[in-house]
Amino acid sequence: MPKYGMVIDLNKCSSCQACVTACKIENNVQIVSEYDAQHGRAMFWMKMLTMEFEGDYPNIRPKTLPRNCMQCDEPSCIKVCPVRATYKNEVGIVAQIYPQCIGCRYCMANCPYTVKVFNWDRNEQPKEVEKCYDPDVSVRPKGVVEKCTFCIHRLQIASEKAKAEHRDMEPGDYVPACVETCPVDAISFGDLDDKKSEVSKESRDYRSFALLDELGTVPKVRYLNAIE
Amino acid sequence: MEMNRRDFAKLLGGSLIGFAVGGAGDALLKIPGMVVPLLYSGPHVETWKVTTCAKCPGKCGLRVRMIDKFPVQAFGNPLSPMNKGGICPMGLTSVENLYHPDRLTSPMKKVNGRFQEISYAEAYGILTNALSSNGKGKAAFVAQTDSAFMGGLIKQLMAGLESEKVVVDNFASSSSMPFDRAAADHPDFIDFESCDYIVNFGSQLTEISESPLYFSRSMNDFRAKRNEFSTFSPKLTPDAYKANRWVPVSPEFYVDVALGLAYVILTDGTYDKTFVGNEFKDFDGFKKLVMENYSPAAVESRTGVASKYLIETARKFANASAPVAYFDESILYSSSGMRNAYAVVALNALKGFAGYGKLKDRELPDFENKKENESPQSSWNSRMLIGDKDIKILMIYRSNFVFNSPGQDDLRKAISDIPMVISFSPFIDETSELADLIIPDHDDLEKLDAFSSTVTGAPVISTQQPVVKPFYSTVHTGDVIVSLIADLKLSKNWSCKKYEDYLQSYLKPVYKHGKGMLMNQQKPTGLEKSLHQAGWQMASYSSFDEFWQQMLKHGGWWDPFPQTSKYKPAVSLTVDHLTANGRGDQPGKNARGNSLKLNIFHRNFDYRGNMLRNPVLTEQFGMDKDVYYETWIEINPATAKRLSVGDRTKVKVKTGKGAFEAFVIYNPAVVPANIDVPFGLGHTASKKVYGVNPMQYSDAVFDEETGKPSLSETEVKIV
Repeated sequence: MPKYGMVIDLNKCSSCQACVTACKIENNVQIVSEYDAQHGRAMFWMKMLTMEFEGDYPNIRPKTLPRNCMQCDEPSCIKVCPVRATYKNEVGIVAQIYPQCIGCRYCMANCPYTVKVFNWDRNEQPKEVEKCYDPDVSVRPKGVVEKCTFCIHRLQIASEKAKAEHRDMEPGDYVPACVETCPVDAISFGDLDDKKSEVSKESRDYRSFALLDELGTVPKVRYLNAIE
Repeated sequence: MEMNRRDFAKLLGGSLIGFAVGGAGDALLKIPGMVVPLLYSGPHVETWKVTTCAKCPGKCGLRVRMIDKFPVQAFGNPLSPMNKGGICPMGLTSVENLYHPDRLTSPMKKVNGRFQEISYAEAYGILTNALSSNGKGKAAFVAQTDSAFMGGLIKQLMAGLESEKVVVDNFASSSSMPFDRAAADHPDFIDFESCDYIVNFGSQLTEISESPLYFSRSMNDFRAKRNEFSTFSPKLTPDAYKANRWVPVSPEFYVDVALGLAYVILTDGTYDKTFVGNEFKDFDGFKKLVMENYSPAAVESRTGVASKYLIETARKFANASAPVAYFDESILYSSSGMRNAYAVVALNALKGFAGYGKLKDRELPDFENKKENESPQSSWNSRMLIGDKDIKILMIYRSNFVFNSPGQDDLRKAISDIPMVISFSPFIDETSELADLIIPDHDDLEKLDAFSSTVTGAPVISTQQPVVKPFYSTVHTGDVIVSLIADLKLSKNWSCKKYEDYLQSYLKPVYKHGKGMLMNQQKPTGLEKSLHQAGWQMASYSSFDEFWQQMLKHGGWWDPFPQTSKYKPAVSLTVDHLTANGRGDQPGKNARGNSLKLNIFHRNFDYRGNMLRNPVLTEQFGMDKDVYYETWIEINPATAKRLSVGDRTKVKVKTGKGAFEAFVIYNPAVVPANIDVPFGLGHTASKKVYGVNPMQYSDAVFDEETGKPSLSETEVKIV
């Protein structure tokens, strides 16, 4: 079984936020009300963060990074879920079973990366957004937690297609929307266990680092440091 | 209304019987509205169509995902040489506009201050009557399109109406205009193969440019080769994050900076003496002006840019083998707009434009024909509507120039004084709401158009095909104009019946030309390249019609192996080009003083003030600052502390035009003398207003030559 992972090259990333938009549209992530958004309840599975500024004005640069679910190999969220609504599947993706979620938000509290979001309400979506819903992804109801799933529906479609064509899945058959969209190919995705894959090579690059690596969550989303 | 499965089955059975009666089904059965979607929802068959995004000047290829023939998502087209599969937030949300409930569904006529729906025949009748009775010499046209073909058609209409009062707001032509005026020609592309140093004057290359996605990739490759680039700009935008040096400077001083760099190069004697001797017409006058007024110390005192940066940048520029001093349309947005651009052209001339490339014209028959349409010959601009009593008819195509401009009240008054204002906007916006008649254009996914570009170093023609039939009684504005030219007999030998005919007349030479390829495969390499150059093509066509259909199907045509040359124009810049009348006339008199300035900046979520009707983009607009649905200002923490303004608090920002409320974000990269505010929010014509439009609070300061508004010269206070 492959072990899917992602490497985001911050040297290539242009902070354009196309990955954020692609994720929002692909996964039918809810547009919350103005009130909710202004009260910390905006829902994004992928977010562009400004971590810090390096240097002093005018020789100053912000350190920005796109951040989604780290798809930990030792995920702290699944350990606290009382109903097993979140679990790690056989290809290493930390997935969610929405109908099983009771909305206790323990997993949100236990995620050190604060990447999970809660459906506080089911806001009426703009008509033009509803018409563009991705038919492959279910819309989550009020009261459940959601997060990046590495566009797991795409894996399902890709594996069914490969099966129908009587072949094994090939690298590139399955990529999440953010990877497909990135204008500068800053995001690599694939099987970390395949030593020949680009993502595997990059994850072992000298520039590679993971967020909060010291916690032992073993994130499968890694970053390549920008070259100064 | 509740309906269980049994009721539904009965109803479905009834429907089938009704239909079996033969054509009487609809009359016999009243099918409840809630059932219709169930009956008509198809088998969810997925198909894909290729088109071109027209949301910004980038001309990116789009792959539109269709479910049961209706678009649901858009992704980048991997075979487009412009974006190679990537796509930006604006392109990703292309489909939303198609389904927007605020779209105008039919022509509208204003009666007693309110819009009423009318038929297209009636609307077209009003338009032709107005133009035939009052059009000749009394019409004006304001358009915003990045299609040079559509722009050309509009100019053709206005030529027939004997009016020079036409402005086609086109990013590429505005960017090349200073070159055209100073050197009678413009470069086609940055020659990234040889270019080894770039000085960028204010362009947001990777966000809002002639091709943000192409430049994003190219600049990464450029840096990977350890080449350097410096950016002079008023804000540290994502584009400037990656620069080796970012030098903050207000846009009205780009002219000083460019000539300050020229001073160092002239003093060091490191300029291209052969080129300058042969091609720079008034070099002695230029040199005298620079040496007398633009020493690094003098420039530093006026602009605040440290002499050491000027000297260091100038020497890197001079010592590079193929440097580029880059600018685009954004350089024009200040009181010294064209002077800025001319100064940068002169700076390039000192090194013989070594980093720029040019496509050989003979290779490009279509571009040769199109040239006259690309470069605006007229110096008329929309500001000139104010006080012009001769204009009796104003036509507006997709330009929301009232929203995009300071001094909006004057513009509104000027427009309301014009007896007949016709808009072709698909939405009611801040400009089209002033119209007497609206003939709404199709949505981008419903219409046919084409876009040309040379920015990648190859001639590219991207086609926009209708991926879906028009939903409503909208009309392609190109078709309206083609009909007007024919019906009013505004052009001799006019044979076009629709816009498609007009487009085809431009693209026939491309077919006859025989070279290049359709966007149906990656750029050929190795053996495939040799085969291709020998005439082998994956998609073959034996007639123009076949070529045209293939072009639409694959999203366009391009020549991956064009013949190129260096851009070596004769420069006819004079001292008059670099000095101005009025504001900023004398060097040394235009220093900024100690006051705070409002700096309006653009993001890659909006372009020309017409994008933030997309709910996804509107929500995401301030996401990286954790600000939603409201206007924020960015302020340097040192300035904020001096003014006792707290981070993430609300303040009132006051200019000479009024005051607005904004959320404060500390940003240590903001110029201490500036308060940065994003452009894009504050659409008052939409049903819900989010934030404010900073243009409304900006002083009416413009570049005299182009009429482009200054975005950074308004004094501001926090109260």
